Amino acid sequence: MLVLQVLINGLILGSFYAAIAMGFTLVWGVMNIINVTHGTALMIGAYVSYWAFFLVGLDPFLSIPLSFIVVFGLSYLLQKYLINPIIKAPLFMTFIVTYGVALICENLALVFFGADYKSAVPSYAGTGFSIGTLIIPYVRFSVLLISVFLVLLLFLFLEKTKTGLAIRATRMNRDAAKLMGVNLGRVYAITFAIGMGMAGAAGSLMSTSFVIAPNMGGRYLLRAFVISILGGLGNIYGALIGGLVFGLVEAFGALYLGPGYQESISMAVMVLVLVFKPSGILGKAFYE
Amino acid sequence: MNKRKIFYIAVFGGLGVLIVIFPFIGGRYLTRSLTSILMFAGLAASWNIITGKTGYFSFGHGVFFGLGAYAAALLMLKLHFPFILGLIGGGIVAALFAFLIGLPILRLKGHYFAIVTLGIVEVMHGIILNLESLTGGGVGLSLPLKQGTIKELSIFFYFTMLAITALAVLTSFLIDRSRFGHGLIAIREDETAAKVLGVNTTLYKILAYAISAVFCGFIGATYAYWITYIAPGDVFALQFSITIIVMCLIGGLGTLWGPIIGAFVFEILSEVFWSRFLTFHSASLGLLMILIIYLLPKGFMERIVSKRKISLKGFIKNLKQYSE
Amino acid sequence: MALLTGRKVTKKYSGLKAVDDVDIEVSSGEILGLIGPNGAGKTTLINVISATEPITSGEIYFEDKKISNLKTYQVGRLGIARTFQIVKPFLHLTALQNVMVGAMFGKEGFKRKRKEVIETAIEVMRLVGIYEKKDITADQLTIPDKKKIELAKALAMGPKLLLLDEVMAGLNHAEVNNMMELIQEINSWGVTVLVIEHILKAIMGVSSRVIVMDYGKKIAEGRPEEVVKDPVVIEAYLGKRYMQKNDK
Repeated sequence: MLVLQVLINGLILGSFYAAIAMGFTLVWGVMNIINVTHGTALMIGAYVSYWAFFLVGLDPFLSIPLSFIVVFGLSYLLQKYLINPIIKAPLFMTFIVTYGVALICENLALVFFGADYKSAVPSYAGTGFSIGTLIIPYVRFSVLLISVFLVLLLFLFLEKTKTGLAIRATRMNRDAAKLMGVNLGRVYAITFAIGMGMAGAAGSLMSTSFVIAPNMGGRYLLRAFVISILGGLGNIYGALIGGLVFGLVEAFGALYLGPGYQESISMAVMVLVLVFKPSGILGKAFYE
Repeated sequence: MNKRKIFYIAVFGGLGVLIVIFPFIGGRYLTRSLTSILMFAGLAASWNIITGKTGYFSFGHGVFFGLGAYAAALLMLKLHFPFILGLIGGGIVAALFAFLIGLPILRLKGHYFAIVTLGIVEVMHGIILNLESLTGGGVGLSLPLKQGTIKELSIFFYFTMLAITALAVLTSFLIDRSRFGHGLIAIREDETAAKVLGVNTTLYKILAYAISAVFCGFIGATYAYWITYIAPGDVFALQFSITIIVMCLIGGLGTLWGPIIGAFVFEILSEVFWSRFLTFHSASLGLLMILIIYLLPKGFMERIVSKRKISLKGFIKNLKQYSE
Repeated sequence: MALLTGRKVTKKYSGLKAVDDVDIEVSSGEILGLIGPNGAGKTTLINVISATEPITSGEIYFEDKKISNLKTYQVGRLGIARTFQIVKPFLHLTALQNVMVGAMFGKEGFKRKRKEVIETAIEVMRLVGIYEKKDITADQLTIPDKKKIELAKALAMGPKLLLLDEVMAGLNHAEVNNMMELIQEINSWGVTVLVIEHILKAIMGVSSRVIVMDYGKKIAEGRPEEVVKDPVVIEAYLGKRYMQKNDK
C-alpha cells in the first residue's frame, strides 16, 4: 500500500503545483513575458500567512484570501507601473526587470524576516484521517481541496466572466482583441495580479506543510517553468495536467531514486521537450 | 595629424600602457579586482558574439564557463596536464558542447531558446554534481597550485585574463568586419530575409555559438587555476549568466566596447554596494537592473554614439513605444 | 530554353492546398507575369520555388538541376532571388548596409571582395533610385523606399532569375511606369524575371507571357492579350454571376 500512499501524496503535491503553474502560464500566454517574480509572490503569500498566524493566531488556511488580496494588490501595482511600460519590449527586458524586483523582494524579506526557516503549524497538524491503511493528514488534505478549489475558481473566472473573456481573447490574438475594444493595459494588470495572487495563495498553503524561507520562491518558479513548457505556453489545462503529472513523478521519483536528482531530471525533461516538441506535450491541440 | 587623432592616440595609448604595467605597480587588492573585471569583460565580450550579433538570447551562457573550469581541473588533476593544456582543453570542451547542443536548440525562437539555455545550465549543474566519482560532486575539486610568489601569481593571472579578453574582443572586431559578421547581423534583423539572400543561417548560428563558448571555456579554465578550488554551485551558478547579461546591457548589447565598459561599471558599482550596503547588496543589484532597463535600454555605447543625455524626457519618450 | 521548370508543384497547409499540382516553365530571358485573384497561391508558389518554404510534393528544376529539395540559402546561391510582398528590410542597418548584405551573399557574393561588394551595392542602389538615402537606417525609410531596398538587395545578389512579389503595390502612376522600365532594363541584361502583380496594365506592359492562378491551380497561360480575354480568367476575377449576366 506504500504505492497508494505515494500516489495520494503525489496528487496532493501535484494539485499544489498545478495552482502555481496555472498562474504562471496564464501570465506568459497572455502577456508574453517570463515573470521571475512569480516565485516571489509565493514567498510573500507564505509570509503573510505566517505572520497572520504568529501575530494574531489566524489559521493559515483562513488567511489564504488575505494572502491573495495582498499579493493581488502589490502585483497589480507592479504590473501597472513597472512592467506595463515595457510590455512590448524585447523579452529580456521584462525578464531582467522582474529578476531585479525578485532580488529586491528577497533581500528585503531576508533582512526583515530573517533567514531561518519558519512554519505556520496549526494545532491540528499531525492529525489526519485514515482510509484503510492510507493515512491522510488533515493539513495535506486541505491543501488538496483548496488547490482544487483555486483551480476551479480560475476556470470559472475565465469562462464565465466578461473580464475572463477579455483575457482569453487577448491570449488568442492580442491585436484583434485590441481592435475589438479590449483595454489591453487593464487586461494585463488583472491577469498578472490573478496569476500572482494564485501563487500567493499557494504560498499560504505552503506555510502549513513546508518550511518557508526568503529564497523559497526560486525552486517553485523553476517548477512552474517546466510545467508550463510541458503543458504548452499559455495553456492552463496543460498546466493543470502537467502539474499533477509532475507531482506524481516527483513523489515516485523520490521513492525510487532519492531526492537529489529531482531538479536535474525536471530540467532535463524540459530541455528535451523544448528540443523535440516546443509547443509542449499537449501543445496547441488543447488550446481553445 | 590633427589634434583629435593625437588626443585619441594619447588616451588609448596611455590606457594601454597603464593596463600593461598595472600589476607591477598596483597593489595586490587592486590587481585582483582588475583581474576579476577582465574576467567578466571577457565573458561578456564572448556572450556578445552570440546574443548581441545574432539576437539569440542565451540566458545560460555560464555553462561554458563551468565546463571550461571542470575540463581544465580534471585534465590537470587526473591526467597531470600542465596549465596550458588545461586551458586549451577547457576551450575545446566548451566549443564542442556548443556544437553539440547548438544544432538542436538554435532552431528555437525567442523565448524558447532563452529558456532552454537556462535549462541546460541547470542540467549540467546537476550532472556535474551527481558524477561524484569523477567530479567530486558537491565537495568540488582542488586544483594543483601554481608555484611562485604572490606577486608573480597575480601578474600571471592578470595577464592571462587580459590576453584571453583581448583575444575575445579582437575576434569580435574581426567578425564585425567580415562577411560572417554581416551574415550574423542579418540573422538578427530578419532571419528569413537572410536565408533568401544566401546566408547559411544554421551554420553561421552554430559557429557564432561555438566561438562565443570557446573564450568562456578558456576563462573558466583560468578561473579554476587561479582560485584553485571549484565547486558546481560556484561555477554553474545562475548569477554568472545574469551578471554577464547585465554587464552587456549596461555597456551596449552588440557593440564592440559595450561589454568591457559594462564590466567595469558593474564591478565598480558592485564594490561600492558591497562596502556600503552589505545587507542590501542584492537589492541594490536588483534596483540597478531595473534602472538600466529603464534609463539605458541600449547601453552606454548608444548614448555616447548618439550623444544623447540620460534625461527623464528621453526615457519617457523611449517607453511610449513599448507600453500598452 | 527552360531556365526553371516546375512539375506538379503542390504546397499543402494542414490539408489546404495553397498550390495544387501546378506545372510551370520559365524560359531563359523572358519576363513571365503571374496573376490571379487574392489567395490564388501566387506568393506561395514563389515561396516554394525559392525554397522559402518547403515543397509538399512535385519537383522543381533550375538549369536542369533539381532544387526542390534544397535549403533556402542554397537556392539563393544558385541564382534565384526574390522580394517579399511585405518587405523585410534589416531595420537597424543603413540602406547601403542592407544592400551590401545582398551583394555579399547570393550567387556572385562569395567571389567578391569588400571593395567590389560596396561598388556593386552602390551601383544597384543608383539604378533603383535609392542611393541618396544610403546612410539612413532602414527603420526610418518610407514604405516605397523600403520596397526599393528590397529590390536592390535582390539585385545585388547577381541573380539569373528574379522573383518579384507585388513590387508595385502602393506606387503611384509615375512610379509604376518607372518600375516597369526598371524591370525591362534588368531583363535586358539577361536576368529572367517572374513578376506577380495586381496592376494589370503593368503586367501586360512588361510580360511576354502570363500565367493565371486561382485556388492554387493554374487556370490559364499564354500571351497577355489572349489571357485577358479568356472567359475562365474573367470568371475567376469577376465571378460566375458576371459571366452569367454577360452571357444573357
